Amino acid sequence: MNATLAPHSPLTASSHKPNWIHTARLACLRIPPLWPLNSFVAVNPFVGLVGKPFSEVCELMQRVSHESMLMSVEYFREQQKKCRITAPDLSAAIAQAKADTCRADLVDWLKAPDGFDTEKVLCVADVVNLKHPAQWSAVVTEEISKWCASYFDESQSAWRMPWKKLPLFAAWKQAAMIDATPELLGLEGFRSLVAGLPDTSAEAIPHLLETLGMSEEAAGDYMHRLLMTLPGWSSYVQYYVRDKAMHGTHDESLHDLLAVRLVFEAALLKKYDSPELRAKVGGPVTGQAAKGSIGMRNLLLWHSALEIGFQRELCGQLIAAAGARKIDKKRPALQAVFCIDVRSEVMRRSLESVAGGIETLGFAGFFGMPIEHVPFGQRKGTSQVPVLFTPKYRVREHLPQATPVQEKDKLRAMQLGRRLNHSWSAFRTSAVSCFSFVETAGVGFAWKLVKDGFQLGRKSATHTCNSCTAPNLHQHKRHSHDPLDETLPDVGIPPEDQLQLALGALKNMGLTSNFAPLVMICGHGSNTTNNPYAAGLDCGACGGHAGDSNAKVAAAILNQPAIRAGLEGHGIHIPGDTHFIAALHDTTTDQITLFDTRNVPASHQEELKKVQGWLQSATQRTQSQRAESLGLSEVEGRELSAGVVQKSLDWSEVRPEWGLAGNAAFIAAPRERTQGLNLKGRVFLHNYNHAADTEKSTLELIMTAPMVVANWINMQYYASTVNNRLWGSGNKVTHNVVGTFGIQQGNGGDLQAGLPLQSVHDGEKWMHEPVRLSVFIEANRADIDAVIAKHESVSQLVNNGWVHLFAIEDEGHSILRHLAGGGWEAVLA
Amino acid sequence: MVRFQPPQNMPPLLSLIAAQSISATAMAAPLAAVLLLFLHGLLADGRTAAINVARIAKTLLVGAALAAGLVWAVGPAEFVLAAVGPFKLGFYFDALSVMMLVLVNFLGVVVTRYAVNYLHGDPGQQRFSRWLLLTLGSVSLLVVSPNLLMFGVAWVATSLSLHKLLTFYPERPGAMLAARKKFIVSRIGDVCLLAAMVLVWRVFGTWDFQEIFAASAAHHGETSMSWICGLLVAAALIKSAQFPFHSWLPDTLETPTPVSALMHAGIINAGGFLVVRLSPLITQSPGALNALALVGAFTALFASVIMMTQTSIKKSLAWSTVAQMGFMMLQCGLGAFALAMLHLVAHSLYKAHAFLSSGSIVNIAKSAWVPTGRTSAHPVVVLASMLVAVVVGCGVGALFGLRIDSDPGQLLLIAVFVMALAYMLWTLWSSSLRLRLFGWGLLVTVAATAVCLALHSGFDHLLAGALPKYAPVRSGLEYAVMAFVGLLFLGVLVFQSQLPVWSARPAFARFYVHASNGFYLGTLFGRYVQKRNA
Repeated sequence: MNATLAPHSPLTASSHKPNWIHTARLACLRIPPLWPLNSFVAVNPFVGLVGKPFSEVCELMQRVSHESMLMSVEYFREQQKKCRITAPDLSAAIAQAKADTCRADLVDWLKAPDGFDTEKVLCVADVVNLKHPAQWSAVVTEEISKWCASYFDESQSAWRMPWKKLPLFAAWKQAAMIDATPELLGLEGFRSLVAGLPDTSAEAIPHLLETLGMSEEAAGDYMHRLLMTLPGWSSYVQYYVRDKAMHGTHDESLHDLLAVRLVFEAALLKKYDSPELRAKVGGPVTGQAAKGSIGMRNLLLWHSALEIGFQRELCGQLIAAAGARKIDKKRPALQAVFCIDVRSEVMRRSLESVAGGIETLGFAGFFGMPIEHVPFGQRKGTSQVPVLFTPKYRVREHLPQATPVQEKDKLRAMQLGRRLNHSWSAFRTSAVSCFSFVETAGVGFAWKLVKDGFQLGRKSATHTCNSCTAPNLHQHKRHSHDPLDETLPDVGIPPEDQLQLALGALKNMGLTSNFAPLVMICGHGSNTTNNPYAAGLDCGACGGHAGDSNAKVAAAILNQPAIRAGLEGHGIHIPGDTHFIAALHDTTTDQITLFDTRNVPASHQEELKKVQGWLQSATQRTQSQRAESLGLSEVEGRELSAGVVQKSLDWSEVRPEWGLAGNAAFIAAPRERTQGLNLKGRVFLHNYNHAADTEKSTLELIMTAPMVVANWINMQYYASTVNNRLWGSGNKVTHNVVGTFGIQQGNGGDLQAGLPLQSVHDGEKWMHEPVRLSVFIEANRADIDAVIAKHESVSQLVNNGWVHLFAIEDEGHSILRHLAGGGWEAVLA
Repeated sequence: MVRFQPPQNMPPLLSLIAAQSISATAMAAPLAAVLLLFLHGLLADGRTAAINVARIAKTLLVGAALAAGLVWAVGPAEFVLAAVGPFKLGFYFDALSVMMLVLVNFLGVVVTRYAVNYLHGDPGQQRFSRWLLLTLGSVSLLVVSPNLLMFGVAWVATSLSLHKLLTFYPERPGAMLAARKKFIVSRIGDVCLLAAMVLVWRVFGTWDFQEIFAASAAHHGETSMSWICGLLVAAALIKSAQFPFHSWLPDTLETPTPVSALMHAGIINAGGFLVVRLSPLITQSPGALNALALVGAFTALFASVIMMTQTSIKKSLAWSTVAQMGFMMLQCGLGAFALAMLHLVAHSLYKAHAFLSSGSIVNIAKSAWVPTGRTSAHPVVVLASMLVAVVVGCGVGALFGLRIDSDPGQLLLIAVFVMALAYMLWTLWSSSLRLRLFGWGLLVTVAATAVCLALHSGFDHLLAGALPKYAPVRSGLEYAVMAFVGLLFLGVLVFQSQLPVWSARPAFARFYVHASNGFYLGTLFGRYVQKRNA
């Protein structure tokens, strides 16, 4: 029926009432969330679209955002020239896609690319822009951004907008009825238009869509287009909605934002209304254009060839190493558990190479401890779990060495300090006192300029006292009356739950026997100065925070005799002389800090010294491997170390470390498969022993949590590389922190999502290679298939091409590729 | 102690240095060295150019420090490099100019060093470094100019090279619009300065500062003097982004952070420096001073109220600069030139640091403490903090020799300081009024007052030789201006302390929306510029 009737036919309008709100909801669901800067975690920017195949989304994005989500033709030309893409890779890409083309055609096409004829979905502002120099698109973005910034501002402005407590649309309406800017810019009668609108978006959206004469078929993509004119704010609002939902409240803010954007459409239509304009608004409907253009298909083939090249090399490495190495079952001197993060791969390789008898493991960096961590003296905690979960326990820090009176004194002193700080900052920023502040304290900033400019007075920013505070696993009554946050009871972690956490952690990390005398649980965190994106370099499994608190909790639980006795009942015997010790891997400097060394039993002191020596050597080895990418290839030894530390202290450094740039694969297998291989910091490594996983619960966990998190990280780096302007945060040097939670470019405009250009590009070349994640799991194909069948979310990722899935069999001798839609095919190495 | 001495009465050593022939050769060697370094810096590529520029900045700072040492040791000195009739190229070093020279080049060192890593990898880093250095050089020449002509040339050169930095990313429409706005405003300022120069030539027959100052008292009360002072004051107000010429400044954030730091700390205050440098002349016109005070005070409060509504760190800082420049102009208008210099120097240092460290705000906000549940100030707390502030301000002030019959301008500035203390105490005590907090509040206010007054007298002392002894006879008009300004400040204080309660009222809600838009002046100006270009 839709195909035969014209979209604007009055028949459709009268025969049934379109469900505009439902269509709006579907459009909103396509938008990914964007976390605030203090817990900036990676998100797959296409997370709302994984239900569609990757290739279809490429097409959709071209239509809706008018932007490409593949690398440019020039990039592929360069890869071809460098032989990074070879002829066999291209042939394989064609074969895998069953594409109706040949290698020669593809190579020719790259010389003179054509066939990009995707129709665009246009909104009123887009159409008006074509004709009028006033650049209304920019004005609309600017106006909405300005307003969103005041609505969501956390603590920048001293004078807050008065309607913060109203729902987004109602609040905007209040402000927009006063704000004269749109009228001064030429949108006459804007304020009265706003005044005439309903108070809720549920009423306003249908009203506005009907005003615009939108057809039901076109409305979905049209509204998606509107949201994609403000991708940053839409995503932040999506986060807000999601966060509310995780705390059990329903929120319509994203619909509200959509309604706001629609009001500007209506206003522009009113000003420039004409039949030609109306005819252009909307555009091709999803489904009709989905076949895709030849240009897009060819670019996708080149892109696949790039990925196949990477997979070929990695599979070759894995198969060559198969069976070559058997980890001997002697008791190791040290077991070190790291996060699966790709930066751990380099460190693990370095540590293992320092001495014999060192075993390393990879596991999600929150070590299975779903906690909210409240630092000593603070009221609010940070959620130290992957964002797919919510924390179950609140753990407060205390001072283990202090008496209750000392602790109370310390708390009071800290509180006094914060109050004084608050007044001092009021003195600095208020309208009347800021002048006197400058005359009193301004001259002192000369010293601060010298200190920060020349990095004086600080050797290292990390953890001046790394063993002063410790997590308190027990009930903490003193703070339980805090009215601020009642989401979690203040009970620490009950003993029976501690046992379950210990059991789950050990089983899932595959550490159930042959414990070393020292087991290091090593979280990771970054260490940068003046970097709004600091959290993006921290541990994603800890919700964008450093993982030391989780490591401390895990070690504290596992060192308790009662817990160990309980574990015996589950068949896990931890020898009496095994001690767990928490640590933090500083990924910027590659130093590893051990916590709470004074609680290491006297019998282990000698081993502890040895371990500290090993860690130092591992640091040096890791640093020298990273030296080239950090631009420090000309120095070595102590000078190199100093150079790396310098980067973490330098307030002008825009590339303190490379984070997870380069990530390309995820391997869940025993360490034997990968030990000794140089994986160049490109691989997430998760320990997994399928023989021990009798119920396949660990496999299910790996595929539903760490694999998904790795996919989010991978797609964030992917999107920020292929199109940094749309999905990245652009150039760091003009960044402006808004509301203390987000980034704007320069004067304002849309919120920036994703990674800054400097995180994926070194000024000369891309430091991230945009390939989709290749997941390798050593397990029976049938078990993997069962998890895919059970979990829609996993099936979408695997079958729609958002990850490439491989199964490792026969102790690494055979690798099979999962085919979209099911089935496996052997990979020839 | 450095005091200005007219050239003819110079100590023998100095007149020797000042002698044209010797100075030219004495200066040639270092100048040639700087020039070579300069060329070397320009020829290198990207990061190397930035490193070279950072080195040159260091050299310049050493030079500035030597000049300061010279002034400290032997008093003010003028070096003439070349002279053709009234066109004289030279350096004038006195306490005022070396203070500025050291400040500007200190900021130069910090900013150029910052830019080395910050712009690393940017394809335009070489171009950036070049213009950064030229800007720095122009400002340095501006502050050591011995005559109005060289001053004017440096003034325009600063503006033009800054323009190149503001348009560093020409692909950004926002950057281009802001730069165009600034370009227009700057040219208006240039016209004022040029007109003043012409008039000065006609009245005094010279552009040499010292000659003008020596002759200015003779022309007191002449109409042409009012014109000269009025034009100079207008040029200063326009240069320092004073109302209604301010709206370009908050829009220039499309440029790399180090440029913002240098502009807000080292360039924007050129207007203030113009007034202070020419204060012996400008003090001849009470009307010009009153205009300075009024425009300055209004801009200070206008911009700081807008600042309170801003949601991004750099916009807040930019509006704060407008406000701080206003306050500095107010101090100039009241004749407190040494204080204005303290304000200028302190603000520069503070603002440079604030811009360069603006990325840290996320971390600071994360650990900051925010009071909860406070709705409004208890009247007792407000009264107590006011009372304590007055007692502390007057008490410590008395120790520093302030008397009730001191200059009313001085008293007004002290009153503003007392209001600031009151505000600080109010935020401290309204959260909880325990004995410990009370004690700490007292301690902090006493310490702050003492530090501030000590700095006041320090700057008074340092600059005594370079600034005129200005003890004006105040008329009723001046008293009215001061009373009005005082009341304005008090009004804003009351407004801000009652904000938690008042902000929900419809009238204030409306005021909030207009204020957050900067009362639309930027929008209107932007629209005008765009139309003009279209």
